[in-house]
Amino acid sequence: MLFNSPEFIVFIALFFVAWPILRKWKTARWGYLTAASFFFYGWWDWRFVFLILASGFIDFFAAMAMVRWPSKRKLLLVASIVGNVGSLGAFKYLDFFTGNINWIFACFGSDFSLPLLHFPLPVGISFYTFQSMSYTIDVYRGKLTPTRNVLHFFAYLAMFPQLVAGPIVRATYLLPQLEHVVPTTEEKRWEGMRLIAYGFFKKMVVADTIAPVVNNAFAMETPLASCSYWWIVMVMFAFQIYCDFSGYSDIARGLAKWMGYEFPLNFDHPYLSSSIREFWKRWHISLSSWFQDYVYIPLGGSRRGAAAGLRNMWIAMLVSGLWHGASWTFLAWGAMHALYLTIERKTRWPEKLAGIRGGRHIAVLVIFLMVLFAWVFFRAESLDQAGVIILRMFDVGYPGVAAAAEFITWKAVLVTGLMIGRQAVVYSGLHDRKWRDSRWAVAAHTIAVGVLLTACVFFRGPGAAFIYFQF
Amino acid sequence: MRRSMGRNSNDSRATTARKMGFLLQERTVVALGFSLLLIFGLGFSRHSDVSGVPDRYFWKMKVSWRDCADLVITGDSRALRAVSPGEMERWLPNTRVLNYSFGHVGYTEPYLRAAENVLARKSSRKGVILCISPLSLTKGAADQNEFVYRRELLAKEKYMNPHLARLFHFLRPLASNVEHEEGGKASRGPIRYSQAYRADGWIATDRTPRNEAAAVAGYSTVFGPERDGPVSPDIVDSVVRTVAAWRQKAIEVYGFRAPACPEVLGLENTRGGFDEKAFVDKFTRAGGIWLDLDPGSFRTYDGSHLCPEAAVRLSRELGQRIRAVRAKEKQEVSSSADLGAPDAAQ
Repeated sequence: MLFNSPEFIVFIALFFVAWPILRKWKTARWGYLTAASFFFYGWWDWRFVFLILASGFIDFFAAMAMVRWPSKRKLLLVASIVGNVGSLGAFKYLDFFTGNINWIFACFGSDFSLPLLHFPLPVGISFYTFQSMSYTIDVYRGKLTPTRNVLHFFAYLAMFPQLVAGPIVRATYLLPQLEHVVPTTEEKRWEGMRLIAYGFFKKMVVADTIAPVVNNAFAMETPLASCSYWWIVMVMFAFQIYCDFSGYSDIARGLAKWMGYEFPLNFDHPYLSSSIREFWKRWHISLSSWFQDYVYIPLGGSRRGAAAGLRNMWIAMLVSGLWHGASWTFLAWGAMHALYLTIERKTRWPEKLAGIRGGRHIAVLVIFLMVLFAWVFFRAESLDQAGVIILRMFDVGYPGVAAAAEFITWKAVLVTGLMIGRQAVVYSGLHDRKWRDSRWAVAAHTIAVGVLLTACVFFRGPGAAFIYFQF
Repeated sequence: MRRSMGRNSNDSRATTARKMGFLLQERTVVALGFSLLLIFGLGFSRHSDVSGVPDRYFWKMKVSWRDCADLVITGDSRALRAVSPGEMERWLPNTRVLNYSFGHVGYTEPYLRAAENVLARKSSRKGVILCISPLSLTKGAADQNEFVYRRELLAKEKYMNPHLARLFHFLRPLASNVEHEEGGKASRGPIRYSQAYRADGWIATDRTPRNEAAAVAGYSTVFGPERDGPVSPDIVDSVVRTVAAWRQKAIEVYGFRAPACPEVLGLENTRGGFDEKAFVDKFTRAGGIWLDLDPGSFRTYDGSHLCPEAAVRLSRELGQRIRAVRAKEKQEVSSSADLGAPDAAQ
């Protein structure tokens, strides 16, 4: 069920009718949340509910067994990881690896080829698999006492606001919250409303309006030879993916607040970062911190010297790239960021630049352009296409302003401009001034949220699924 | 005095604060209420360019048609917007006519079978009309068939009813019927479409401003290998086989060339590889009746789709021609019966 679908509005209205009553009792609360979450997920394809159940049961029992048989903790952890990575591998990566093996055989002139199985990709498999794995790993590390109640566990694992596109909420963060009933205050409800309205606006008005322009460009239905056109398209894609994904996270966080829970911040104005390191502390925070805690640090982090630190960082970034999709383009995207981080670690250029007058502003702009450049690999259908687009972006001999004007809609320009303006306001610190707390500002804010919701109805772009559902 | 004025001003400030406090306490409700007011205000005040049956229900209704018509019109968007069953019924009394066309449709066997199923089993005179546009005979149209999409949507939108569809229609984006010239060139100004979804399956459509050259660019590329491709001999053969099968079942089959501006018709022949004469030969040999309606003589709003008045004219001509064919057949039957009468007497 998509957040931006009529079915979801009915679903959420019905959910919140019974929630204030049922949340008073633990079992009723967990049971209701689990049932609602499975219904929400099963709306796409009910068969995949069994996949979450299987993945969840492996981790639930593995964690319980770790407490009961501490000497076999490692074995149980390996079993849990194999189970989770195995299902992720089968559904998401099998055809990718098979295709590459077939290609290698073909390179050596062999006719041998393994069949591609074309399994359908369960929505949000990467998110809930990682969330489930973090549970067993934290129990293994002794950071978490496993729950003995299966409903408590599934209420955490399958909690519908974040089930299919994050944020990836750790068990240490959410399980204790689910233990208690926290009464929702007006302040929390309003905070939730604000997040939901802003999230829907970002997705339905901004991302969905930009989507046709970007899709047309990458479908190669527009003239290629235009340097300005491709730069504008890439700026638009940067804001499309940001608004699409952070919009989903905002809605998820807002819904959690309405339920009386807190999800961690997932996006913190990433395009205002003045270094790539900072970008990864602001972009998809729950995933980057997951990779840091469960991949980079277990590999040794930077404890064994700079070279080992770089190697571990490269591994984490490449795995992160692959997490986004079974394709060489995602791997290239991860590699680009790893390369950026390597240069940054070696030269410390952002700090040096920030030291000079106005240098920080230049650093922010340069980082944005670097991120933009890497997005080409993320969005391209193939490495060949990415190569062609990059060549065009730097083909200054063909500015092609007329082509840009021809194929870019004024609505997409308007919403992109709106988001750039919003970033400028945040960057300048205007949004955080004292006047925001005045009565009239609060009233204006209330009206603004009403206007945002109305805009979602009348100014929405052509509907589409959230980009991150495919990951 | 000054003290009392100060007290008054403090009281009024306290009252305002209480009022604002109420507003602050219920901000979620206020914001939702305000947005509802705006939604209803904007929804009711805007000019509607769409009328008739609510669009989402229109498609559900169309895909659900079974066992309910005497004469069924088939085809792609050219037929969808060009044939008014209501106008045809004026010339064909006691005949229920339905327009079973879809936007981008290929003449595939499932589509033709579904069209046959629309015919009423108890009808005394069943008929199917094929509105032949070369695009509907291409592999691209067969692969990306709007008929299939609408049928799949029906499975997902079983709950859809006219009231709900009306609500969805009310909540449609403001610019849903406004487009820009290909590629969104703002300098040329917006193009506004008005569409009336009729319960008999016709969408009476118009475009402001009308532009007979708008479709020419699209038709010069649509038959390319990377798009829908040229007319497929396999699809033509399949259509002809279905026509023959229908004739075996005593279903009348009429065909006519989908009207368009002369430039588009020319591109269909040259780029699309459509040999009308050869097609008509096969069609008539299979038992179909070809209606030559001078396809280039109708007014279009974009070069390929008829504007409402031209659609009514075409439908009238179709009704009159079918009526004439039927009258002629009746005459032949009665004259052959007259001829056979002496034999019967013997």
